[in-house]
Amino acid sequence: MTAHIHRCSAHSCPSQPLTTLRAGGGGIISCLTDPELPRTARLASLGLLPGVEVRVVQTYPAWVVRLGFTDIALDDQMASLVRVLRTA
Amino acid sequence: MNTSTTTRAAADTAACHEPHSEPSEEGRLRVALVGNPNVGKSVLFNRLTGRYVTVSNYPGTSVAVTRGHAHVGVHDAEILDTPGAYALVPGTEEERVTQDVLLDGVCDVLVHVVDAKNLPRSLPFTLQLLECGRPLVLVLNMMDELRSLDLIIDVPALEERLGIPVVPMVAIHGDGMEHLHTVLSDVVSMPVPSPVSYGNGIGTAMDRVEAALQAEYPVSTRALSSLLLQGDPGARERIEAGEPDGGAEVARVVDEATRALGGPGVYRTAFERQRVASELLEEVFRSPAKQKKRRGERLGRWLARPMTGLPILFLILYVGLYQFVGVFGAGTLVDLIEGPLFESRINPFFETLFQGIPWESVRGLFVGEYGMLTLGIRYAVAIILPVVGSFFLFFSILEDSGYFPRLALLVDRAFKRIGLSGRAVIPIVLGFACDTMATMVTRTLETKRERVLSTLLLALAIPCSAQLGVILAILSGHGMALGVWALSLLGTFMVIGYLSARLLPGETASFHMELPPMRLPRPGNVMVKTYSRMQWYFLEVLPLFLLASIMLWALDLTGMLRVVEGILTPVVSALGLPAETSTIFLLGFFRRDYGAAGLFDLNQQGLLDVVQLTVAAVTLTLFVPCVAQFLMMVKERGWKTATGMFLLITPLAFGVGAFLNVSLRWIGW
Repeated sequence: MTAHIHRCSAHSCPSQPLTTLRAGGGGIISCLTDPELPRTARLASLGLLPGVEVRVVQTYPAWVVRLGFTDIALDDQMASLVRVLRTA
Repeated sequence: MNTSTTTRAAADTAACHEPHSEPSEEGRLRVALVGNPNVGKSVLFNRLTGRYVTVSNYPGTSVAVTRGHAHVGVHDAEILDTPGAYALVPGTEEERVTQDVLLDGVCDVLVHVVDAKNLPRSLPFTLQLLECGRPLVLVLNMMDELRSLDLIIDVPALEERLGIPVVPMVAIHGDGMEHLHTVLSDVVSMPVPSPVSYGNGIGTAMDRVEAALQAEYPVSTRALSSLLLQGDPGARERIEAGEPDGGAEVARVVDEATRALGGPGVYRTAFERQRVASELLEEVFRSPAKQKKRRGERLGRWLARPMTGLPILFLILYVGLYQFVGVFGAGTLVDLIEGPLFESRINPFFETLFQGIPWESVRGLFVGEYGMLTLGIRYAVAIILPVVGSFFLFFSILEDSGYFPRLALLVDRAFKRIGLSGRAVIPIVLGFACDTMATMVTRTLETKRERVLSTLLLALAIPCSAQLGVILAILSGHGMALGVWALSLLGTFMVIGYLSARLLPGETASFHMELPPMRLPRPGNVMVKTYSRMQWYFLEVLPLFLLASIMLWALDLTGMLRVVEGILTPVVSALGLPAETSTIFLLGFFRRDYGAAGLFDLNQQGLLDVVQLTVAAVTLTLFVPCVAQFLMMVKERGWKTATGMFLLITPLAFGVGAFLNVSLRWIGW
């Protein structure tokens, strides 16, 4: 597993922000981007961590992502911190 | 029901200072239940102790540690139910409560409760708990759901890998309780589990920090060093207090070790734990290639999407709030209890009972216009109780179904405009039941800014159920008045929210929330929940009602009532209201709902026209929160903030009232 700690640069990272996926789309989390600690720490404690597979259930008015058997609602800001390698 | 609720302060004072698993001084084994929200901790607590704590299907209701007693094998045990937490590093105040329990060593044994099907997500937390240096039991709850999804957990292998007992359970049916009892009765003699070893430099970093710690702590140095690496302020505070040099040396080592990690410790640690957990899971957790659809999933989606969710929301508000609480609770039920019971039976009975007292002034204390029995008890039982009861019933059904997290998601965007996140919808909705309770629940919000904003909005623009019910009943005959009242509140809510969100420094809180599965509310659960909320409310309300009656009686007797009414009269007349309404505002100062009940009386005497009724209802709703709420504001936000809000709200309420009076008269109502 490659866990990027710092902001991914567009050139070297083949991943895309979660917010570019549509409902029904899915991917494997590649990294969490943002120097702002508390938010990313929250995502991590919710289980949104590199290597975890997620699927987008809903995109509006907030994002709903499914990981395992849990649905988690995120606002745009939180969802955009998650980068994924698209699988679906 | 004796379950006592203790907050952080009490948890601190009860701290034991041994990192070992010896029962407390009284010989009681202290067992702490820890885990994510919504995994069944409270259900398990009820099973163990035979006592009831509110069980909810949404995160953010348990805001303090609940204690109860149980017999576990040969031990007399104290069970601590901690608020739901996702990690040892707290993000909210409720999680801090949980962290305090762990760091201050107020427990001998930890029980980590997880939702079995979500084991992959919970295992990193188990690994953190292993670091605490206390016997740990892992409870895999909701095993029935796991099986229905064709998932398999190899329990013996999991036990072996973690080195701790693992108990599969279905707590709601009591399955696995015997096993848990057996495990807990042996647990004291069990060796303290050793934490798993981490790679990628994390283990080494922890070792270095651990070696730098010199003082003795009630929690293991492993847990402390791990928290310090994650930059946790709670751990830092304890080091500063504990270390001989005020923690300077440790801080230096932590900085060095973090730098060596090449990135923020909190991610590095989380990633490494996740890596260790996934490795472990490969051996013990098996899921089918294709996920089964769960029950209630479609309904959950409808509720969370604006196209379907908003119409359903309005339907729920109409049926639940207007028809059930307003028309049935505040109308039918109040009429049933007030007229036949109080006016024709109970009050005359009290009057006869106290006829023997020759002094009229003393008799007035108990019976008469401001009598404790004829006014205090009548308002509490005949007017407030049916309204509050029907609201709590309605609220508990929604709560149990799992609706609120979907509502939070739905309103998040709108709430962001007033500086709140969707999460704040939970205290705001609860405010429609009881603002005092809701002010306490603002603790579950993540930023101080959000807590302050929601406390202000609760105090200003959210009518509590008692008030709401009475006002709905008064205004229900006048559709337009009801509309003006609702729009005035909504407008004030939005405008003040918008303005204070701009004026208060800080960033808008971000929103994230787990959506629990939709479940059919369990009638037993709903009833007990309603009952326990009503009990809380009544124990808190009735003394204040009686106190208010006594104060009014004293004011009346000494002639002070006229003086105060005299002071209020110019204010009241600026609102275009008759002098009698000043009594209502006086009553409203003691309790908001009490004031509303006074308005109800005045309306029945036909003293007010539609404009006056509307203006009085709006002003009274916006007006200063009741005494209980004010005290809760002081407790949660501090004197300064609470007093500041009081000083802001009072002129605002009367200002909006006066403006409304002028505008309504001007348009020729």
